[in-house]
Amino acid sequence: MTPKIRPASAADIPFILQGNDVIDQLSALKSKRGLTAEYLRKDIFSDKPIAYADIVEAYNPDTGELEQAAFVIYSFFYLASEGPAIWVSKFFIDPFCRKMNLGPLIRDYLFDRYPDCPSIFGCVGVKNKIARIFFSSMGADRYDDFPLYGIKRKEKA
Amino acid sequence: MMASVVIRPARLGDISFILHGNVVVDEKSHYQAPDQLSADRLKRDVFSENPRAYIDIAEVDGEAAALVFYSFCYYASEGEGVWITNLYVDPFARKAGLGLMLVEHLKKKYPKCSGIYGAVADKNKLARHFFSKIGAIRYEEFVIYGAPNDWGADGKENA
Repeated sequence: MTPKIRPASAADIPFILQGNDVIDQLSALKSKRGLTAEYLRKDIFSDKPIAYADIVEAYNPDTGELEQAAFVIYSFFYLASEGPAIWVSKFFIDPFCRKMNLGPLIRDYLFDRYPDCPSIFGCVGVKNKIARIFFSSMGADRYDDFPLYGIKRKEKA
Repeated sequence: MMASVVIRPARLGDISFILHGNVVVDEKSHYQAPDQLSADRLKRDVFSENPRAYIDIAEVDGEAAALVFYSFCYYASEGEGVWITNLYVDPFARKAGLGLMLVEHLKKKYPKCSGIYGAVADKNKLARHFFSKIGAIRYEEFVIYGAPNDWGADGKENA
């Protein structure tokens, strides 16, 4: 059975948080804010979302059930040189479907859904092999000559 | 006499200045844009009812001298940030701190944003110097990937 993609709902929050924990471990990253159910409700599952999440569902051969298999969290940003683009902030692929080559499926789904966005970008921890493989499977180029810079807002004491 | 600096949202009359600044930044970055910025694209994406991006201009004595071209970006673990896609300071106004003023302006304009981010071409020394000067961190542990929708109309050759 072919995996299918659908928009995420608040009912998917536990799956997203579980996947997020795995991603943070793989990337060895520590963020100040972190991702919580409250942030997901506010940022994604609200009347005025600032980001979006989609869920891939696939049959798990071990259980024979249709299960949440992957998620992608994304927003839109803008590149003067390209125009509007999709920014993949997080994605997670459950181990049971890692060999299903979901990268192209997610890429095609996003491009079909947002035809005015000519590109998909994302920032990947260099230690996160799975993420690098995922982006490569989407046909993504690695921009080694464009490092990311950032000024973090300072926490108030 | 002290020059008067005003920061304001860009207007249609700034399009020539914006396009010029963009060409200079691309040249400094040794970057060939896949979709060269044009007046039409600016009108569609910036100067429209539902803008996809924003531009603020620093004027010196009434003359456009610098610009910051930005949108928002979302990091699931950090929240919403400001993404600078271009920052340009005209040579006549360099060393006056206009770039820093524009960044400070964004910080005040969007107090809830988690931070200000941008990808800077390694070959663009001016930009690297600027980001370092304003206290930006270079995230060596991250690399940017981009998947263009360029695998042809007939199929997905990269799939």
